[in-house]
Amino acid sequence: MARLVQKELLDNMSTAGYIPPQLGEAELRKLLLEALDSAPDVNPETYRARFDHLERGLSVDDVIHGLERPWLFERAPKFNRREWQWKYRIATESIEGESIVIVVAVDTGNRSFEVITRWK
Amino acid sequence: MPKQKPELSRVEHLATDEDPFHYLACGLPNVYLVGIKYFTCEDGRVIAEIPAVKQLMRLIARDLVERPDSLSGSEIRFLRKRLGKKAVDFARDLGIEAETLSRYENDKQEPSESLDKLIRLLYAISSDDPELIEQVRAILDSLLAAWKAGPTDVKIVKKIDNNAWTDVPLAA
Repeated sequence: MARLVQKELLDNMSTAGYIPPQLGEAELRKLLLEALDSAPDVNPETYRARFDHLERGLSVDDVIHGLERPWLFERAPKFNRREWQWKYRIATESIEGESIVIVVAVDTGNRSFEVITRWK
Repeated sequence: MPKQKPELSRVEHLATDEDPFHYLACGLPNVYLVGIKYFTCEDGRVIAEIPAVKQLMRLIARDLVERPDSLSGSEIRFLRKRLGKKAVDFARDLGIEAETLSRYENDKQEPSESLDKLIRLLYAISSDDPELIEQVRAILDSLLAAWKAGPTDVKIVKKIDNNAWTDVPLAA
């Protein structure tokens, strides 16, 4: 086990640079809800929320609803080396109760995250 | 030597009074934001950085509820979604069929004056905006009296100022 951890550490600090640790569901939930509620300049802990493309028929309120209700990761988080961000796929529901996936790409360096919605 | 994080090809912009950001993602066609950053990407995507988005959405809803013009279909849908209500549940609250609500939301039919006012009051008392309840109580008489039918082309403009969303007064 210790050897495995050490290997991961070495991988993360290899020539590709430092990979930030991935967030668990509870940590990600806290980060997202804080960002929806407040401005980063008021609370320095708050990440900057950036909204990318929303699927047709969905609005920002569907994203807020989908992130505030109980949700689970649709699949294991993946580190995107090209954009140097952890990408989290959140399986949740729109206001109408339709299954949607909200992709959240967290940029720890810039303390920001981007949100993209997808129909499931 | 560690590799640098690759730069994404995107251009940063600041939304100004002269060139505000058209905030279509809120679900309304006439909302513009000032003071935010947004990014245009090579592939045509536009990514907007929206601080305190819940406060902003509450402020937009408050504008709709207090405005004397009749609600458009997209405005009715906006208020319903602000409440987090499914169409079928919202229709039940209003005492109408879901199909009728759908016709209102898609501008196929106009709601009556009384239903328009009921939607505003339902939003005001059900929303998470405590200030709105107080304001509606104070302006209830004028709100109910001032309603006028017909579409509006009023722009809603909000500015992020000192970390809080504020109204931008429009020229007459």
